[in-house]
Amino acid sequence: MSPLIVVIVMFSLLLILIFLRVPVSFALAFSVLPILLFTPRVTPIMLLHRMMVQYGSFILVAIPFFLLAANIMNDSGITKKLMRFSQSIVGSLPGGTGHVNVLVSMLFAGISGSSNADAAGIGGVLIPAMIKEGYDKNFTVAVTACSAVMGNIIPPSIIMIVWGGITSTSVSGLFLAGFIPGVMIACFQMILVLIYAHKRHYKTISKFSFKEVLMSFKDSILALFSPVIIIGGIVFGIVTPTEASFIAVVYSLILGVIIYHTIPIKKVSPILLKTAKLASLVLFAVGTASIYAWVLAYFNIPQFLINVLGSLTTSPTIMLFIITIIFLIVGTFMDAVPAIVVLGPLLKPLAEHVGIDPLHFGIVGVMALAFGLVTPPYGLCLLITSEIAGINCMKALKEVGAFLSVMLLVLVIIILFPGITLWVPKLFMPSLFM
Amino acid sequence: MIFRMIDIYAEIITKLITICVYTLLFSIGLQISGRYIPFIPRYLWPLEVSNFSLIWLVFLGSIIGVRGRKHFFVDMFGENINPKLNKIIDLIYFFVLYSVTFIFIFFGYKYFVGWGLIQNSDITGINMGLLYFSVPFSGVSWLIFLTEDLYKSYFQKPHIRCRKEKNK
Repeated sequence: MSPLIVVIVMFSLLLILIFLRVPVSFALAFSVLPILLFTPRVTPIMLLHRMMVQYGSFILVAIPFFLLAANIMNDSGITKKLMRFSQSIVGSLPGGTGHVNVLVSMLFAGISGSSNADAAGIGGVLIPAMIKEGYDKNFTVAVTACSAVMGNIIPPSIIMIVWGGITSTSVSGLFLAGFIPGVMIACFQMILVLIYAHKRHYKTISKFSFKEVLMSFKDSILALFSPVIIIGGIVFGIVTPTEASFIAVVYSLILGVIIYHTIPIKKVSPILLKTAKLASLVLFAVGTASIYAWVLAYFNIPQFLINVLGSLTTSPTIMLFIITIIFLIVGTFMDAVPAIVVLGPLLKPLAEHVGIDPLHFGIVGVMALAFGLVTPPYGLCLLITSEIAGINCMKALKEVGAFLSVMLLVLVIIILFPGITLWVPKLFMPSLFM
Repeated sequence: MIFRMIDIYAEIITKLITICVYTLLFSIGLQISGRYIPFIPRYLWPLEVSNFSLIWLVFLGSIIGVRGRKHFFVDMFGENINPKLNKIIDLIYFFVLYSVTFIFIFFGYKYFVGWGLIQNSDITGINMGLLYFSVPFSGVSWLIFLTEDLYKSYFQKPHIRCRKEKNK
């Protein structure tokens, strides 16, 4: 069977099934079945074994653990402490609560590693507060959903861990590389909030007080210490990402159960169960995506793509734009984790072929897929925040579009100037570039 | 009676998921402690135990996901979809899930017997059948919950369905 036929059959079947509301994980598994009928050398047993081999990857354990840490942090009321700290810094700007929303998302992103947890945790507190203060519901949903995207871009990030594991890229390097793009997104979003505040006359919420900044910092210092432990531990080679995720769980449990007393012991098991149910769905999709990716690799599709797309251009920048468009499109209808499992091994050889730095490629890929979290039909952050605000997610599309435009602008800047992404990793981990 | 039994079965699977998470936490915790705390021995078995619990966690979670239709999907049609089209899409859902279920049961059983039962793990010596059994087990469990879903969607009278959902 020729690679072209395999590509057409597998991709078209996958798209049709996803369009017809079949769960993504099952659509991935089903899409390889027609190929098996015509390829006697590939049996379903080999594919089931492929799934088992994928789950043998130690790095995947980090997914449930980072999700668990985020859920524990959310339930322990850390969000409120971070909100107070953010308010003391940016509350005096016009549209204060909007700025607080962006800043608290950035800080929480440094703790959690999951955009969905950010959207649920921060949205649950800030969306009702913003609506009460007279902010437009659509704007509230847009700013909360789009700022939550930083959860996947600012380290630690579950998507980056999966990316690192699948494409054999340094996770520590990715964490360092994600820092500046994440902060840039926060800055650009805050500028947009200022513009909205000017247009719609959104008010300030508090006067700037240095004393309050110090007081709130003292109150939230233990929570803010979490990223130092997690990222510092990984970057300086003290712990692996999986170990760091476990330490994040233990640290958040100590904060919630022992120090803040906000999580009773009997509430721990339900949090574990809730997280396990969600994580297992993500990981199951990873398993079926690995089957899909294996069949693509079996038919030499990565080489086929190099031959087809590689002949279009040899410019790394243009190639990165092409790859970004693919990631952006796929991100709109597929969760980032299975998308990485399918596309990562497929596109990495192409990126290497034209000389794109693996860290630069990784950050651009992670950002493009993360943007899919706020675009329908599969924008989980948008769906979560719309649900909290009690509106149909399609209503907020205009405001989401505005935020997405500035985020895309950041992505374009990152693609055009690789130095922005690579500066921090070069500074702290020069060995990666030797 | 049969639905009550299915409920109990789902509850057991939920309890097993909780056990898997605790086992995972314990084994990874022991692994990390062994690396950094001098008086804790560097056991090797937690590596395999964590892998076993992760795999069982994923498959058990996928079972509960099928029961509640919680697996991630994309809804392009929204709520205002034509009921007839909705029914057709629903039938395609069942067809795809039953097909994958068949693969997991039929080939999963062969995988369990032919690949799992004949080998033991490297470190702990546990029979790999214990791990590979998760594949046909999840297949059979999907079959049970899918059939329950199919029956409730197409064969149970609507007023009974509403009353039972209210009671839940």
